Amino acid sequence: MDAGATDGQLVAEVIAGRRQAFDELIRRHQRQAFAVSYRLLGRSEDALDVVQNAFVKAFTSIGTLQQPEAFAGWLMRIVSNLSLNYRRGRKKNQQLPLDDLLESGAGELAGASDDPSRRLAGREMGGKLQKALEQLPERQRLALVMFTVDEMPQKAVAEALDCSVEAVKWHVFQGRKKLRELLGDDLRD
Amino acid sequence: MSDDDLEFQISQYLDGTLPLPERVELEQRLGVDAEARRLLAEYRRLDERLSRDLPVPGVKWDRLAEHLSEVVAAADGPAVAGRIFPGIWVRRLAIAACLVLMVGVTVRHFRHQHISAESEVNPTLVVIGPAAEEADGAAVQEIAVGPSADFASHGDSSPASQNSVDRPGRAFIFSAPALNGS
Repeated sequence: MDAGATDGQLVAEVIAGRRQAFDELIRRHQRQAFAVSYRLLGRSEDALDVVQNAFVKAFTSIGTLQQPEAFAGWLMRIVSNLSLNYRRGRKKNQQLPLDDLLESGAGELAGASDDPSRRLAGREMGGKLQKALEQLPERQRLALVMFTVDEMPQKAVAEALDCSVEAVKWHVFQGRKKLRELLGDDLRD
Repeated sequence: MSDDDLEFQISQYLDGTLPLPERVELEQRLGVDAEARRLLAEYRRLDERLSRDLPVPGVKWDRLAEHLSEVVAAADGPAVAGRIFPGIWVRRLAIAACLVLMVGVTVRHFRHQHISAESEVNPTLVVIGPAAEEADGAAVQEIAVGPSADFASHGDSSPASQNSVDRPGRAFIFSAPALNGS
């Protein structure tokens, strides 16, 4: 499959019946889908379950996607909705080969340091951040995770949250403000 | 400017989405306002920590992609309607159908109005006969309400005669010119 094709072109190919084009969409977006779901659910097993359901749902309803180029935002909307529903229901309905999919050991840190003491401090801070994130209202947490953490474009976040770009800016700001209050001294010199 | 406004500006400034005039204004303020600089530093540190310290579990991405591909392959394909008519075309067709329907209804309405206007005829009755004589005086000279002369002269006490006295009917009198003019 053409790795240089745009998301829109790949979507058109899937709609035309070439399922293999969807594999490329999976490879492109699985990390972001997993990260968003993990930030919302806090458990890798649950996040993998949601990601699997999200890709199946995206595949079966891809014909309803009105702007093929907006696939990423549309997929993230599916991921976030399924994650929130999962959170409410906490249902486990898939048999996932978890041992085969998850690396052993602690989680990865994006910018992990070689210095053990700094790595430890980073892990501590990560735990605090995760707890603080869980205290934010859903839309603020989603906007902050997608935009600031996963670096999705504001337009894609707006698509995912089904709101305007201005509303995304506001949610991100409100989320940051609340996190700053919750983390307090940890953010000061 | 309130604290909230300043923080909102700082948040957008960090994202690079603050409009130019406001950016210039904020940069000027940052030059002289230590509190604004402190806020900016805290927000910047928060963003760094969010992108650096939040852990993501290690996932075997290649294996996950394979697994997802297998699961998707086992699922039903995209909806048939989606294959033949992607969403955007369904929407366009629906809009076109609505437009055609609206034009049809409008044309039919105006056509019907036109035909009605053409076929609207004032019915006229022409009566040919002897010309009416002009009246000399009032059409009705006297209206008497009460028992008829016959009943009165016979001193009739029948129910009919009583009714005619006690319960006179209503009398409607129309002027002759009004009738002629209609």
